[in-house]
Amino acid sequence: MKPASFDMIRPRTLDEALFALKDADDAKIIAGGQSLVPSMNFRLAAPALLVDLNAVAGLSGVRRDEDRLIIGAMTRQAILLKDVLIAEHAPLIAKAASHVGHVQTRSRGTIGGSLVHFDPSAELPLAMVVLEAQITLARAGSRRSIPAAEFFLDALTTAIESDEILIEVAIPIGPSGTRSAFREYAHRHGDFALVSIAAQAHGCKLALGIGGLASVPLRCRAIEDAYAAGSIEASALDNLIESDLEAVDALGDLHASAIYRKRLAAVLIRSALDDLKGAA
Amino acid sequence: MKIGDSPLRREDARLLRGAGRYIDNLHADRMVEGVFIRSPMAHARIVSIDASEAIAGGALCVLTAKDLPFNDRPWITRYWHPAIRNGLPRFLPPDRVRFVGEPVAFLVAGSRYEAEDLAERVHVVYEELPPVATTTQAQSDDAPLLHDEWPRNVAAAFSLSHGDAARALRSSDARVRRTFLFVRQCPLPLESRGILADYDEARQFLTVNMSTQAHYNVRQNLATILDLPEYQVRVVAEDVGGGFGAKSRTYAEEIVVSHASRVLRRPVKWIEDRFENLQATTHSRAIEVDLEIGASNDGTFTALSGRVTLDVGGYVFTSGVMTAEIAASHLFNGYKFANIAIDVRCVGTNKTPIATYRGAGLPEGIFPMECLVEVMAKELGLSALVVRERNVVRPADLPYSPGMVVAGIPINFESGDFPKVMKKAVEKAGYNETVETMANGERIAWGLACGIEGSGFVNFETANIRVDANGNVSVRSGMTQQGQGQLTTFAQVCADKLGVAFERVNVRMGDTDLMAFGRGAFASRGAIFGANAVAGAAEKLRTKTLECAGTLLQCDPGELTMTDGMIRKNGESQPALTIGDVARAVGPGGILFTGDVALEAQYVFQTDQPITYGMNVHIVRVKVDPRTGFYKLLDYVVGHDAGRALNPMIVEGQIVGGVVDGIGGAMFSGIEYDENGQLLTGSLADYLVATAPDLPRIRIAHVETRPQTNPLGVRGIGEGGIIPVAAAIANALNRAIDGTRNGHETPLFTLPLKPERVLAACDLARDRHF
Repeated sequence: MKPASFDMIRPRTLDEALFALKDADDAKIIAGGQSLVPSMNFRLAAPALLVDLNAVAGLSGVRRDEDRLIIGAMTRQAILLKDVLIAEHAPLIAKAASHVGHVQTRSRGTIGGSLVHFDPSAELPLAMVVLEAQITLARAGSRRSIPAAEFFLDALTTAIESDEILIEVAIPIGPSGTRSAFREYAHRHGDFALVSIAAQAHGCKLALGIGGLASVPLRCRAIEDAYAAGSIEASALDNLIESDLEAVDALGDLHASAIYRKRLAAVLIRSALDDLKGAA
Repeated sequence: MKIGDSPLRREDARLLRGAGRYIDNLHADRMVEGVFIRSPMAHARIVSIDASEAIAGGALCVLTAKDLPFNDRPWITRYWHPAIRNGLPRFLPPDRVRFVGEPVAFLVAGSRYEAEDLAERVHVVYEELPPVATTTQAQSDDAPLLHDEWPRNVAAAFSLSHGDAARALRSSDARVRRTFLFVRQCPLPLESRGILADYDEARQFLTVNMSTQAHYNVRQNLATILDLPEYQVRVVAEDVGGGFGAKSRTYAEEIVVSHASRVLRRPVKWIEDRFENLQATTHSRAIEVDLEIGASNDGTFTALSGRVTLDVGGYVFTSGVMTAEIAASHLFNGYKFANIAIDVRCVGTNKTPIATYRGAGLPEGIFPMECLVEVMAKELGLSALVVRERNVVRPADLPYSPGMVVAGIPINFESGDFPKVMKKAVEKAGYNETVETMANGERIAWGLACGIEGSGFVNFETANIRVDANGNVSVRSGMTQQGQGQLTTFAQVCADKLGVAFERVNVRMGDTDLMAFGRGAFASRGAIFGANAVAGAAEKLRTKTLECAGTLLQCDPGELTMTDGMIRKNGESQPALTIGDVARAVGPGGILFTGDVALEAQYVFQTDQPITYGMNVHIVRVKVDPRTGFYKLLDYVVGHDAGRALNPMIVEGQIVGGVVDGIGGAMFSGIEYDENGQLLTGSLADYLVATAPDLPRIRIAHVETRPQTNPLGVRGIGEGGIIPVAAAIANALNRAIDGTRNGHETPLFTLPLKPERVLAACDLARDRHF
């Protein structure tokens, strides 16, 4: 469990980092290292070069930009839990982050690292999909921004190219009175979720997403549409949940079967919708 | 500080400040590091091993089976059962691998990093053989055979019986029978295995620092296998970061690393990483029990009949067979069964070999029995507690023998008050057998399980106590310690029995050069054997000290007392002498010198009844959500009898630690393999143990009765904390799901009790209503 030999650079500016990536054949970005380092120790990853973003100025922090909340990629997961702007404008992120790992891992792990690594049961990608965040990627000389729903392609696979760096995410700020809920089942607190549900609502718009169930976060369109059309009758909810879940190709593994994950998802959807009624 | 006080553990300040001497804290001049190259296959023939590229790249050596001139030598094992049909591993496999992670070669380089790089350049060609993945497959007609000596892959088979179980079952009013699986688990010490071996050719002396529970067994194996004089081998295990049974015998790696040091004439270190630890440190549990019990209508047990199947893995580690023997011989669990019949089979598969883990067979045997007691109670429409009280061995039954023998030792209960332990635990918990249903559908219930704990087991332990001229007392023990607090408790025993201040006593252990003979720490024998050896030496030394003081003071030693190292004549307040004065007088040059090297005494403790039994009663309150199967432990109570507690704080710590270990094992932990014998749980993201947020408060109800098996009157307490945990939780879940009927419970009889399994039980109970 020792990594293979590698080079490492510690650029001070984003441009320096981007140029290093552009020129390298086999480089990996290291942010908090909470997923990359174990996989290097197992020799599942053996990059020739690590580009360390920890000294790059301007990549961390949370700020408001008109009707959007901008979170820098190097913002530590621990900050997501206590940042006042997030608490005010996107509390769903803090609710999700409380399920991410443990105090120790959150103090190193970053939001950008979690999004780019993209474990399908990770909480922050789900929150981004439900919040309809825009993800900004930079490469030497250009930038692009894509919706979270198009960023996550498959387990451990995203739309990022090998010469790009995820630099920030932009969250649309909801109108006042926006409510959110986050629910999760995991074997132990801090474990990867078996299933998690993120929800946000204001007025008649509901965004409801499921993480951990399939290889990418899913939106529950049947429930969302019914919600938009008026309040959901308790008697109709079973059918709506079923229509959102039945076609899902659910993941099954050592920790939980696919069928079990679906059953958990159905229970969690109800709980999250109940939470929304009383939530802020 | 005397026996029964609770001074803080004196080892902790050092360990908590990072001054521990674990193996990876140790460095030696000219030291190099090694890595084992391990089989990625469950079952394969080794065609060839080509290390030339690694050697050319800078590897200092690559050892394979053909480089070990001693590869045919026999192991020295502490435990043996006549039914074992051989199948012990060689130090490196000559031609075939039998489990994923089996070491096939050892490569040494300047550092572990370099060694791992070079290991990728050792080319091992395997010819894959069909794997044996389960015990059922192993016994089928067309199963591949793992060893020539194992017909139908059975490594050992034997029976235990008493009375006529078949006949008694036939005439019983009620019979219940279920199958139980205590899943394969691993002991998972925080410090993995590790060794720093240094063979000094000029002195012909091998020094080995290693993380072991059984340093004398390691010395014996190193000496005989490597052909060295036994007292030219020193095995040091100073601080050991947990053992839990995984380190209670010698491993092949330890022989091979020591040999590499001899080959290279340099100190060689090997530290097992966690990936290796999960693969290649012995696993445990993996016992399936098909159990039937009979009872009369009033709940009196009539007979017990069972089949115990151990998935022993690819080789025999003899203590693995012992866990099957312990499970089988303790299935009766303190209940009076006049008729018992048990068949035991240890069946080979292409998996990591099985050895001991905290409880060593007792959790595996007690889980089935304690769950089946509840099934029987429901069958008869009786309270489970009443059924237990009706059958448990009572003080009036003592001495009680169930007619079972374990490791050649007849099982005998000579002391204790099991009903009282049960009663106190029930009172403390507020246990009852009702089920509470919450408005949201969640259900809450108590579950209870009893578990006998046999402790001590391995006879003989040694201690030496020596006093210097300033009255400082040095205790040497043949034990090891892995964090159980012996450095504190042994000092208390010595201070109390000798009559010196606790602060003046230092305790050393875990070094074969301290004593010519010792055993180590396993089977909860520290208090029973280690502390009684210290007590024996202290009493001997006190007598000797007072005799010498009598000579010096020209009085009858009977007129003298010694407290805090001060020797007084009866009735006098001023001390006449100190123990240091006596030490000075007794040693060379002293006025009482008669050939002793110092004021010292040595003692070997042995007993006619090496197993001391106690009873633990665990009671847990669970809340289960029948929609998901998720559940939470709300409260936990342990009733126990430690006999005389040497240090009540440490006793409590051992019990709580055991419960935490048991909760993880019951709820989360399972080593899983796929159908090809590939290990699926190779990291701590997949092999789960209990973490703090999952734990309830753990409360303890104490009962004290003194056993007669040892002079201090102590019972072992290292394992009672874990033994009944899984049964208590399964019983609570079973009751919460349906407190009166049977029919939904079987999913709860396979561990670990993951929510998905609990939900299956909920579904069965729900379906029954329609």
